[in-house]
Amino acid sequence: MGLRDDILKEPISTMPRRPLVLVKPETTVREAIQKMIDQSCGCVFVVNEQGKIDGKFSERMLVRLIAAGKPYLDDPVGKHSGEFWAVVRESDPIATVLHKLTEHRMHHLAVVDEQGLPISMVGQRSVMRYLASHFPRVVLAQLAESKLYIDQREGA
Amino acid sequence: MPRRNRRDSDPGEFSDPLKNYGPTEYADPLEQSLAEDQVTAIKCTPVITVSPDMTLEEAIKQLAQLDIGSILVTEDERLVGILSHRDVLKRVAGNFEQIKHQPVRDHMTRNPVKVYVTDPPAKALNLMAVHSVRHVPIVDVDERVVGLIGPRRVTSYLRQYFNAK
Repeated sequence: MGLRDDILKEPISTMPRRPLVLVKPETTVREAIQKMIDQSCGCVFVVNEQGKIDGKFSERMLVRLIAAGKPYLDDPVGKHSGEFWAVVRESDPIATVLHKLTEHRMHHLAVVDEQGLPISMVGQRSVMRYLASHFPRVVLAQLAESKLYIDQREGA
Repeated sequence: MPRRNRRDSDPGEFSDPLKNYGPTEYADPLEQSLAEDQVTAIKCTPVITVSPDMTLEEAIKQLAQLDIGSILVTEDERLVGILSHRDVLKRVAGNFEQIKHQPVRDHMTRNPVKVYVTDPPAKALNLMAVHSVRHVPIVDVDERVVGLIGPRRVTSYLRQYFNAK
């Protein structure tokens, strides 16, 4: 199978996935930001008392809050988690990730189990790493600086 | 001159050095495009550039108003840095009020990973994977910025191979 077929048929469970960063609605924005920095993650998902996702707070929302010029650090993150979010399942094909990231202009998707409980996260980084696995020689060459010319095998 | 010791060669070990010089065969058009097209096959414009002297406050307002993930910082059209959402998260969010009038040069990522217009898309995507970055600037032979690849543009580029074929 080629790359296109792999993306259409392989399930999300074969992609690199990341642990979710989950917070409660009453967590402050300051605390949420620190969790995002500590986990090197672009978003946190807000969960309700049943453990199901109820919202998302991302770097994009953070930039909007800063640009708005109003105090926000001590606000509960639930106040600013109205950003659209979407989920996928591990059994969904990888193409579903591309579709949802593009359609909804998002960077992250929560992966949920059959009960709708969040178990991991996929996003743009997962897609890039999945693609990189199909071009191992290019990945190995990343240690060298980018060149102006394309290396040619032919020619002395 | 001392004679070099040579191991007797095993005829079974002979490997034709020219056997791998044929054209690469790809499993599908997506793989071929990623490996052989120029990186500009991925939509890479428009790109927003700012001066290193712009204040953080102004730069972040641009990020918010234009709803973009990063802006490139240039001097004489040459790339010197990038300010992205991640930079805002890590370096700015906690003390914005104290630093908002400082120039963006003090808080940007300097000399970000980049590709040249002659590089294939696979190189840009692999830079994103290896260096864990979302945005990769594209420069020409004179190091002048010609575009920027980000996650939305990459996924749009990939989706065209699933919509039309």
